[in-house]
Amino acid sequence: MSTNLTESATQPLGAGRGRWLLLAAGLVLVGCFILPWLSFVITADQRVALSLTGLQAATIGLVETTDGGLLYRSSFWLFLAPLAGVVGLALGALNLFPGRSAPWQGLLALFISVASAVAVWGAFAASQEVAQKEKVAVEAQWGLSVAFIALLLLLVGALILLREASSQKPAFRAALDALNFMTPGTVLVIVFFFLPAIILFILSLTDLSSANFSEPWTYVGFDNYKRMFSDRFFPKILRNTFQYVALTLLFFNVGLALLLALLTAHVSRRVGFLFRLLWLLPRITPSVVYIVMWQRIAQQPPYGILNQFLGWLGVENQPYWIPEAPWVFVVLVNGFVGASFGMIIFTSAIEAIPADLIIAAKVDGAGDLALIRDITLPLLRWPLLFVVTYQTLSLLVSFEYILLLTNGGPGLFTTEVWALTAYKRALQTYFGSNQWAYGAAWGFVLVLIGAILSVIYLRVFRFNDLVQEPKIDVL
Amino acid sequence: MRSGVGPVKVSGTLSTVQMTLSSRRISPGQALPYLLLTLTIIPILAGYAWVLVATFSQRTNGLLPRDAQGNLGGLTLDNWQFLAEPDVWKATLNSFGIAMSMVIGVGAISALAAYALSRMNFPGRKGFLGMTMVLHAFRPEMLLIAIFQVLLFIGGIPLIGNFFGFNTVGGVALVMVTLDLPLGIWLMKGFFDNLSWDMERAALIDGASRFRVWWEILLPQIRPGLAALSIFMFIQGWNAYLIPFTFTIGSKVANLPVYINRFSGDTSLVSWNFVAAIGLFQLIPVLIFFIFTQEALLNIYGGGSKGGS
Repeated sequence: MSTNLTESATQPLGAGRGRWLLLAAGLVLVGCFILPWLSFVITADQRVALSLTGLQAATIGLVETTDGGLLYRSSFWLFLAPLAGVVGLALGALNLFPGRSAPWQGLLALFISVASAVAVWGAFAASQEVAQKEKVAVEAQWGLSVAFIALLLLLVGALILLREASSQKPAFRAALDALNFMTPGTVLVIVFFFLPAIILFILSLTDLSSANFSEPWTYVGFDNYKRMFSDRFFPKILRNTFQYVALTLLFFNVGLALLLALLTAHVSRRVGFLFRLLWLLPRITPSVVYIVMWQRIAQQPPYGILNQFLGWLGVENQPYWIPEAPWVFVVLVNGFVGASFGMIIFTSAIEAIPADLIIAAKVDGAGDLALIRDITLPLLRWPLLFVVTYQTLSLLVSFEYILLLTNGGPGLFTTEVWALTAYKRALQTYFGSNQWAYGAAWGFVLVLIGAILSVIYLRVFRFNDLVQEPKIDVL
Repeated sequence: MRSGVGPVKVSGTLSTVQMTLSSRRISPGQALPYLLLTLTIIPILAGYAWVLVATFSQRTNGLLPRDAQGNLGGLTLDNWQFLAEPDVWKATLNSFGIAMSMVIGVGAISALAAYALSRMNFPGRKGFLGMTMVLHAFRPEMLLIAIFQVLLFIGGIPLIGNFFGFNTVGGVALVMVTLDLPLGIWLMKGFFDNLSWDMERAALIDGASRFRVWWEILLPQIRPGLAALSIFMFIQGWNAYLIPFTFTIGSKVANLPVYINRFSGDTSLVSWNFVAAIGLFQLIPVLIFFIFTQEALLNIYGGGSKGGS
């Protein structure tokens, strides 16, 4: 048993997998090249060749055809793709023999696969324009797609080969190990967090909108920001944002949350659990359904639930309540979702209070209120601060419920908050115009504010303590 | 296992003390918490009650079912006719696809990254952790504007673009997975940090690879945590509205919330009972999770809620 394991230690897991990938990818690429070429030689029909793949175009000089107009504009660099196929086959074959792998092979395969992938991608993009007019080009696109995937496989094969070859050096191997685990997450975070953040900023310096979508972006400096700050409704939106965050936070996300945590801690354990659970319902209800519920609560008679109750109480004034009191509902709707977060945090903090403290206070004759005032609340200082900061950030950027409930209305900008403005300017079509660049300016300011605030919060909450704890191996 | 999630829970302290020290007789002061709790929860219960009633009636006045003449009654199953429409099932399938992508994507990717962050030392580790923390605290919905451009770009990549570009379920799923990655990574890292070192170390010394250790030794140990994260992610993906709404056009790729909203939006004539029925249809999986996984839900939502509000 132990000899087995020692053997596998010297021979890392996955050894020899790279060569099969290289062989397969090489075969596909060379096939992509040879098959259309053969069919071209046999039938002497350019269309047949083109309909199979675009790869052969570089070698048989098929840049433009005259019959049926421009079919497919090829690039000389496409020649790299079959070359990559040959390299893949050769390296794969070489690695079939033991002890022949070396880092340079992986590097070579890496280089050529990346280069030809870029070339194929370029050809694909160029053919997309043609694709709208010519069916043949669409078929060529399939060929290019297959080649592209094969090139990606080649790339992976090259990486594995590189890894296998260099795994003999321990330090290098440790870094590679970590890389393996981190790569998927890192790639996604870069593609959908960092790139967008940069793009957002660049976008905000241009004048891109759906009106000039197909043209290259034009740099306009800080015009969008100037326009934003001089917007007639800017003060109104700023006030709305402040009002939204402050009211929801004060009355619900912290206020009601604290009240609920205290109340559920002072009823019997099972009842407390039940109520906390019920308060989770709004959070897990699909937002669309949740908003429909509220709209139904506020409907005018005879449909509305609230008005039905009011009718029983003999109240005469029974309007559709959402346009009547939009802010009340914006805060209510968001608050009923938001309260549960603080409630759970506070509850666990309250439950963590040592029983001795409470017994001692009770023995000294403290009542419930005195208990809460003198023991519970002081001990909740940190959770309180955490919930306030965390939820401020969340509220600042959240707009989904407002979008669904009032969409910023009724009327002009009545309940429109900053985040909603950015979203609507950029992505919601008013009369078919998306002002991406202008919306990006609104959005970027908010991203900036949020990023700065969260960095400050991290300092306050002693981030370094969080990062240092785990077991780090020293193998 | 659960203590990785948020503050540590110490069972039975305050309320047990309350029970033992105070008399069993219910005084007005003791009834007050019950009263307040019941009063505050009313809107939620009313909303749910309406959905349940409206689903099975021709129309509703308040919470009471009415028939076409306005008399009490009029119970019907007509609202469920949408089940015969293929569009609904397509939307359901899309919703399910997004939800499962969230479960698998966030689960796998964050478990991988969290393992490295918890167990390995490599350059950039601290920076990555700090970054995920910032991203976790600040869910940048504002980035949607730029992500739109990224998705358009991905749409131009050969073959991949057909599945992950703009206006595809794959693209929506990819964006949603990424936006919830920071949360997943932090939760997972918490689970890994709490695991004992011994078995893993023994396996490593015996020559098992890192990946094998992760797959065969660590993952089975954090199964409860993984399950909790999966539930959370499923609900998140199943309920998703904003991102599918922003990044899809037309009914081919709409998911259930987007589909429902088309019937309850400002511009359309609202058929409330139909909306209630289809809403309940969408609520079913969520409610099943709600009923059967209460403990896990409460813990996970306390441990690291998404922004929401």
